[in-house]
Order: sequence, then structure tokens, then C-alpha cells
Amino acid sequence: MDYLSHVMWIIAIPLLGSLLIPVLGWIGGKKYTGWLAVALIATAHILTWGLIHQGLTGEPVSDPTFITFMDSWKGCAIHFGLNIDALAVFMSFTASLIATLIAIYSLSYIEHEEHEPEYYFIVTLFVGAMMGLVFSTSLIFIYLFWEISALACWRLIGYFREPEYIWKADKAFLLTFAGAVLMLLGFGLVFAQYGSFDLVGPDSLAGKPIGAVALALIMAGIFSKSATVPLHTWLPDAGVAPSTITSLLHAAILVKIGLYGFARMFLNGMVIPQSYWVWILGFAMASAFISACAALMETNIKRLLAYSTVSQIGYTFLGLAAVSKWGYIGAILYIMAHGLAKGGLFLCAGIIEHGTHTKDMTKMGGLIKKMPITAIVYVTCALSIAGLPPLAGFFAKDFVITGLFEGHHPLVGTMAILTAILTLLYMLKSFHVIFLGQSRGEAHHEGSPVMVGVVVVLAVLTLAAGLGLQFPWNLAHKANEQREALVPKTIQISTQP
Amino acid sequence: MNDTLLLALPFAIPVLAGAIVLPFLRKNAQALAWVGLLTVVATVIATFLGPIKLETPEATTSWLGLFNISLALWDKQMFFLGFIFLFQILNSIYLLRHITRIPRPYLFMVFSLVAFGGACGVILAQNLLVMLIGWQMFLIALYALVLSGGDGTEPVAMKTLILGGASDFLMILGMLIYEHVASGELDISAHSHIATGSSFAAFTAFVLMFLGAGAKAGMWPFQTWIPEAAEAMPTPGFASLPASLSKILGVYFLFRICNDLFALSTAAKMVMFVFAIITIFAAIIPALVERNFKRVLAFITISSTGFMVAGLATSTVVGMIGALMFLLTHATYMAAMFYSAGNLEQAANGSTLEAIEGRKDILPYTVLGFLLALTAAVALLPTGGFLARQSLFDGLFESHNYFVFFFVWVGAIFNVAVVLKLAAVILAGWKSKNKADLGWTYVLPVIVLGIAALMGGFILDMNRDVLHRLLGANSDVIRDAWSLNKVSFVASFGVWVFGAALFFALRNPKGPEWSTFHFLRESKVLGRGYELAEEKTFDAYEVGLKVIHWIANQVFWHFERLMDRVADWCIRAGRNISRPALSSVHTGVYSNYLAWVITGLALVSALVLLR
Repeated sequence: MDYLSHVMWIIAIPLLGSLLIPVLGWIGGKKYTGWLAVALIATAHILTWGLIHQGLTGEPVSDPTFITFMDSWKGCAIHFGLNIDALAVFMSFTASLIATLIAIYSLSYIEHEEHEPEYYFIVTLFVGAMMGLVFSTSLIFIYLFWEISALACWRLIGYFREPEYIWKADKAFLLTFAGAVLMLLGFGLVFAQYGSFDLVGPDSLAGKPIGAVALALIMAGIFSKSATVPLHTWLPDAGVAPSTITSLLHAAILVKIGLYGFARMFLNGMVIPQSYWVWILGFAMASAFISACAALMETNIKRLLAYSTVSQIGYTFLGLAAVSKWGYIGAILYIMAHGLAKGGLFLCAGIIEHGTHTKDMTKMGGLIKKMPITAIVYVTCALSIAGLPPLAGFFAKDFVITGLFEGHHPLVGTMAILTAILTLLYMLKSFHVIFLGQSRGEAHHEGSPVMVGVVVVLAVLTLAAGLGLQFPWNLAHKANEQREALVPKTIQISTQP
Repeated sequence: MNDTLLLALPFAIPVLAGAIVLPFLRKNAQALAWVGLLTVVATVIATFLGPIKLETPEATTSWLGLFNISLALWDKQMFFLGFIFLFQILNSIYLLRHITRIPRPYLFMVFSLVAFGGACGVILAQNLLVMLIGWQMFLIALYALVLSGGDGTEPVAMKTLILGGASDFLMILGMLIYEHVASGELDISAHSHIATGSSFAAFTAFVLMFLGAGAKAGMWPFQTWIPEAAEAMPTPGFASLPASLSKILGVYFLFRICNDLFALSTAAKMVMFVFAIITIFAAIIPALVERNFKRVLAFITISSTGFMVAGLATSTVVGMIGALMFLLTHATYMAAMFYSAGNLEQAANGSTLEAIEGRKDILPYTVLGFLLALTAAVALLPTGGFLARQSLFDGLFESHNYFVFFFVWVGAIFNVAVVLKLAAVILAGWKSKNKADLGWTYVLPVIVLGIAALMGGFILDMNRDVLHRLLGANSDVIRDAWSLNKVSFVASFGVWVFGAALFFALRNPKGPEWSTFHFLRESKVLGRGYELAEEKTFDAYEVGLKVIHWIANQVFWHFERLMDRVADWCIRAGRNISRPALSSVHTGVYSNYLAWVITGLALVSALVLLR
């Protein structure tokens, strides 16, 4: 089986396989739907292992016309193309790994909830959309998978179906949808200018400068999806969803789609004129700083973690927008480091919420005595996000900051360091308020073995990704080499509007 | 075995033992202590059998092509490692019995070993980034060790980690700027010697790295966690880390910054002098009236950082020797004093000066150890303290910093007065009848360190060659530096005389010893100052937190919430407008939602057609 067919399986198994889940629920196999979802997502993940060798050693494999939907109609063609490069392999591997762990955790977490088949159906569809987006070469299909993920997100945020929750789900959907529509308009402008939707191939958009209006429209879509200030407010509100979902949104899929889209479209595709980068840096820095301040003020654990995500996504954008080797590598590694750690934190929040029946940190305290494993996982993941060695977050954050200096942005680099201090402050504060000191609530208990097992795996992976940085580093480094080969830096920094 | 791995043994053995072996013994405090001792001994033996025997005890392994893991164990590293080994062995012996008194023994032992490994890593590192990693491990261990003190230690632990973390981030920033200025060089052994006066960037890099390293050593304004940790941490934790190891590491790095990385300009020296003088007085003034024995010792340890920074700032060989000797002597006598304090606290059931003065057990060996350490603390001949102070004064004279000398000299006088007050408190307890002491595990570290403090001058003199190589100076210069200079000898003599005079003049002969200097609390100026200090008005951490919270509050309510309100308003308006259309689509049937996607595709098709 060639690599392209291999990738088709990675996309098709969760995407089409998800349709089997409601069917299984209808025919009376409701309690097995979770296992089916785990099997589908885990299979997709295991298949990504088969791409690693190619990602590490080979040149990108791509076929922009893998499936043709419309060929030479009025001079236009729409193809579903596939592209396998180090960036895509890295993203698919990381996202499917975290999603698999979240699905396993869900087996215990969601078993007493209603609408279980629907939950697993949408989660699996969500993962399938992510896989499709990661390997797509065409802007049209990127948009298609983008919107499937938005729909899935909307349904999952409103999972508990109380009016307030539905309002928050609508908010998330409408904000990201509005952004996506603007992005679609941006794609249209790009197509009008260059006559192509393809990011790879002979007539692709690679290396072509993008106009200001198209850039602004596409960035609106990216910022809304990745919850970047000022289009971020839906993400803290999405904390009303089950913790598994918030974990999926923050750690594995949704916000990472925006980052990946940015990296794919503008660092491995179209070229942003030099003078526009400062705006992107500005938004990223504002996002990192403002949301870090908000996190410091929060007392709701899930909202605090959500603001932290907005802040760390801003950090990752900083790395990408530095347009430098270390910045790019740091940003890619940070996607993984943040995914693992934030996944762990949200799942810990799930255990805490199960045990205490509250999200209000001021009503917690002293939980380390009742939940020692959760506490250790929480502090490990929190310190990784805060950027302390030898955890994965330290290296990634350090590379991002180094990249900012390498890209001649010392002021932004300094601000990034100040924001890192804020991150340490709010992360540590949350750990202290929740786990240390005197207990301020009723009796609590540790999570189920499955739930605790999954968070332990995430904490171990956070540590392992720091100590064994070599493996993710190699992929990220290769991704950077491929980026530099595709869009040489000379083009990126010399292009003027 | 790979040379780098071999050189990493002093780092790896304790960390692995802490992470892998101790979890199996978590329920047995006594076993934890024994394994801790065995681990330290094994580390020492492995170091002497392994890396030290390498033909070239230096190795570099490229890691990810990003930076080199450069480790070295030349005799200058061995010199510092020797001190660390000594402290750790004695600390482990102390713990053999004391471990049962620690509220969280497992946490304590695991992170005690991690701190030990991290400290060895910092000493062995030849690369700034590797050094930083070792340091941050040390910091995390410090945080955990504070928490091992039991309930109520959480705010202190948080303060420790936040201040340490903040200073680390400053150091990272300084290192990044340094890397930029030194054209990508992060290797300490490269001796880049960037002139701090060559550019604003170089000066900024120096100041940031200086603050980061100074914070480790307990320099103002990052010092405020130390007195609180002295109260909160278990005694062996404080004696081995903030009082000795962390100071050794901080000042060692400061020394390398001043000696290996930068050539100091006058402005850079002035910055160092200012911080040095403030550090001395910010610690010693509260020490005069402090009523907790351990906190007084903590204040003394902070003020000593000021002396060391002043010595390094002279940029003269003799001044730097003074700083390094001050560091090693100080670490020794301060550790001895802390162990004594722990013993006295145990005997008196409290660590206040009143309790210790009124205790029933004399603890003769503990008191003897304390008094031996005191000889170095007040810098009597022939202790290392004397040589250190002598060299420091010489350095200040040689560099013509007479104004700075005056402040340092006055600070030294206050130091002597405070130490004499502690001695008086301890000796007052001598009147009681019970002459018993604690067990040998408690006494041995105090006595050994006390003797080491007394003999410090000889020990340092025997290692003159090491100092010579450390400083890159001729050993004759070092010998000359230690020859008695009349002016500085008179100055040193003056410190003893005025220090003793200050103590005896202000002592209340009819009142308890602990009340000496307490009239200062009643004075209008100082009294108010003490009140404000107790309210933490001058605490950089508390002030910083208030500022950060104020900024965060403003940003949250005036920007973030505003954006949320605008977003909500837009969405509500949009929903109201589109409600009729949406409600027909929003039926709960999945296929309807797919229509959204098809709408998007239709839009694209329309664009294609228009083209």
C-alpha cells in the first residue's frame, strides 16, 4: 500500500467509521459504542505510525489530484489532494494520540451520561475531520473539514443541553462559523488572483504573495478557530462541556486546527509580505498576555485552563510568526507539548469535578490527600505549561523565545518571557488552591482507574517528550527543512505588499 | 562508557535513586534516610572511581544540533563538588534520626536527592543552558522541600518557586541577549569576555544574568523567601540548600559571569555595588530585632551575599578571592549554625530566641559546634572568615572603592553584633542543669562543620592552586593577596572591636539576652520601618504580586471582559436577526446541519462560476 492510500485510511476510518456508531447504538449496542470509537480513533493513530519513517527521512509525498471532483469546468478544477510531509505527520500523530487517550478516558467518564452513542459519533467524526484537514492540499477541502469540526464542536459544547449551555455552544459555533465564512471569502479572493486552491502541485499557491484583504479575511477565520484575541471569548465559555470535550478542543483538535491552518497556508504555502508579520505578532502577543492576565483572575478551574490555552496558543503563534528556524520548530513542538500537558490538565479537571461536584477552585483545597495521583499529574502538566525543565514545555517555550530573538523581535521576546512568569504564577496558584492547604469542601475521592490511568499516561508522555525530545525534534526539524525548501526565507522576508 | 555519561554520574545517581528507588520505601522513613545516605556515598565513590580518572575529564555531546552538553570535572569543579559532597554526607547523617520528625519524609528525601543531583549538574555544566536546566531542577526540588515542612508551608513554597522562577526567566532573557551579542556562543569555557560597556545589549545581558544568579544566592530584592523558608522548612533542608548549596551555586555562577563571560565596565560594577550594599543592610537591620533564631540566621546568610557580590564587583584578583572564600566559609559555618539551631529548637520546643535562651538542656556539643562556627562568622584568625574579609577589604581598597568599603565595613560590624547576640542567647541556656545532648547523628554534622569553619583558612590555603586556576591568576598574586595588609587588618580588627562594642553597649545587662537591640523597635524612625517590613511593605514578592494583580485586573475587566461583551452582543444581535431562518434548520436532524457545509461549497462554486 502506498503512502497516499495509507493516509486515505487514516482519514476514512474515523470519518466514515463514525457513522457506524449511531447505528450500533440503535441496534442495542449502546454500551459498546465507546469501545468502537476507541477502536476507530486508535486505529487511525496506529496507522500514523506507518508515516513516521516517511516523515523523518523522505521528501514530501503529494498528489494534488488524488480524487477529482470537477475537472476543467469553465477552466476550473476541484480536486481532493493529499500531502504527506513532516508537519502533517507530526500533527496527525500528536492529535490522534491525544484523541485516543481522551476516548479511552471517556469510557469511564461518560458512561453514566445520556446520548452516549451521539457523543462517540461526534468525537470520532471530529477526529476524522482533523485527519482530513491535516493531509488536504486544497483550500476547499481544508474549509470543508474545518466546518465539519465546527459542527462537531457546536454539538459537543452543548452536550448537556441546558439553555445556558446551548447558548454557549451557539456562541462558539457562530463565532467560528463567522470567521470561517470570512476565511472562505479570503480563499475566493486568492482564487480570483491566482486561479488555484491548491497548496502543492505545479500551479499551486506556494511562494505566491497574498494581498492584504485576503490575508485579513483568512486570518479572521484562523484567529476565531484558534481562539486568539479578540475572537477568543467562545473558548472559556466552552468549559460548560464535559471535560473530555474541553480537553479535546484545547489539547488535541480544535484550537490546533487554527494553528495548523496558519502553518500550512502561510509558512508552507502562500507568502505573507514582511510588513504584515508585525500585526500577526502583535495579535499573538496581545492574546498571550491578555489571556494570561484573565487566567490569573479566574476561580473556575476550567475557565482558568481555557484562558491558559488562549495564552499558550498565542505563544505558539509567536513562534510561527517569528519566521525563524527556532521559532518554527519551537511552535511545532509546543503544539505537542501543550497538547499533552493541557490534555492532562483538563482530564484532571474532569476527575476533580467528578470528585467535588464543583468547578469553583475556592471551594476546593487539600485535595492532594484524597487525590494524590491526580495532584502529581496536575502539577507535572502545569509545570510543563509554565516551562520548567525537563518537561516538554520548557524546551518548546525556550525555542519559541529563542526564535523571537533570532527573528529580531527582542521586545516581543521580552514580553513573552514576562508572560511566561505570569503563566508560572497562575498555574502554581491553581495547584495550591486546589490541592494544597485545608480542605474547603465535602469528602472527595480519586477518579476511576481508567481515568487516573489516562492522566498518568499523559503526564508520563509530558516528561518523556522532554527527556526524549529527540523524536519530536527530528520531525519538527524536518518540517522546518521542508518549509525552508518550499518557501525560501529570502522570499518570505523580501516580499513587500 | 561514554565520557559524557560518566561525567554525568554525580548528577544521574541521586536523581535516579530519588525517582526509582525511594518510591518503594515511601512508608518507611528510616529506610528512606539510609538509602539517602547510601546514595550520597555511592555518588561520591562513583565520582572518584569514574569521571575523575578520565584522562581528559571533559566531554561534549551534541544534543539535537541545538547545543552541546558540555560537562567538565577539572579540579576547580572537583573543589566545589567536594564541598557539596561534604555537606550532603553530613546532611544525610543528620537525617538518619531527624527524618522521623519531618512531616513529609518521603517528599523530603526524594527532592533532597534531586536537589543534590541538580547542584552537581550545575557545577559540572560547561554550557549555560545545561546549567540552567540543573538549576531549575534544583529550584523545583527547593519548592518540594519547603512543602515537606507540612501544613502551612504552601505560601512559602509558592513564594520560593515564583521568585526563583521569575529570576530564572530573567536569566534566560539575559542568556538569549548574551547569545546574540556573543554570536551564538553559550559555552562558558569559550571565555567570550564580552565587555559590558561595549553595547547596551551587552550591559542588559549582564544585568539580567546578574539578577538571575544573584537571586539564587539570596540577593535583594529576591531574598524575601529565605527567612520564611528558614521557619517553614525542615532544618536539614534549609541547612543544606538555602544556607549552603544554593548560595554556593548562585555565587559560583555570579563568579563565572564576572570572570568568564563579561569584562565589567564601571557602570556594571556600580550596579553590583548598589545591589550588594542594599542586600547587606536589607538583611542585617531586621536581624537586629528578629526574635526567631532561624530567621536571624537566614538574615545573616542573606547579608553575606552582599559581601560576596561586593567582592566580585571589585574585579580584582584579591576581591574575587575574598568573595569565593567568603562563600565557602560562609556555607560551612552557616550550615553548622543551622544544624545547631535545629538541635536547639528540638531541645527548647521552639525556635524563638526566648525559648532557646530558657531551654532546660545545655546541649554541650551542639553549643561547642556553634561556637566553633562563630569564630569564622565573626572572622577571627586563622579562620577562612578572616582571610575572606581581609581579601574583600583589600579588593575594595585596591579598586579604590572607599565609599563602598565604608558601607561594607559598617555592615560587617552589624553582622558581628548580631552573631554575638545569638552566642549570648545560646550561652545563657548554659545555666540550666541538664547536660545531655542529642544523639551522635545530630551532633556530628555540627562538630565537623564547626571544625571545618575554624580550619577554613588552612583548607583554602592548601587549595591555593585551585583558586589560582579558577581566577587565572598567578599563585604568587594569591599569596600576596593573603599577606597581611596593614590597612585592611586594622579595618578587620575594627570590625571585631566595634562589633563587640556595639553588642555590649546596647545589651541590657539586667534583661534577657534576646531583648538586646529591641529598643530599636521603639524608636520613631526604625520602629515604623520595622512595622512596615513586618507588613511586607518592602517585600518585592508581595509588592510584585500586588502590581501584577492590579495589571491583570485592569486587563481582565477593561479589555477581556469588554471583548466578551461585544462578542455576546454581536452574537445575540445576529441570532435575533437570523433566528427565523436558523430555527427552520435547527431541527436536531444531522442532515440539516450538513447543509451548512453544502452552503459553503455552494459559495465556492458561485465564485468559480463568476470567474
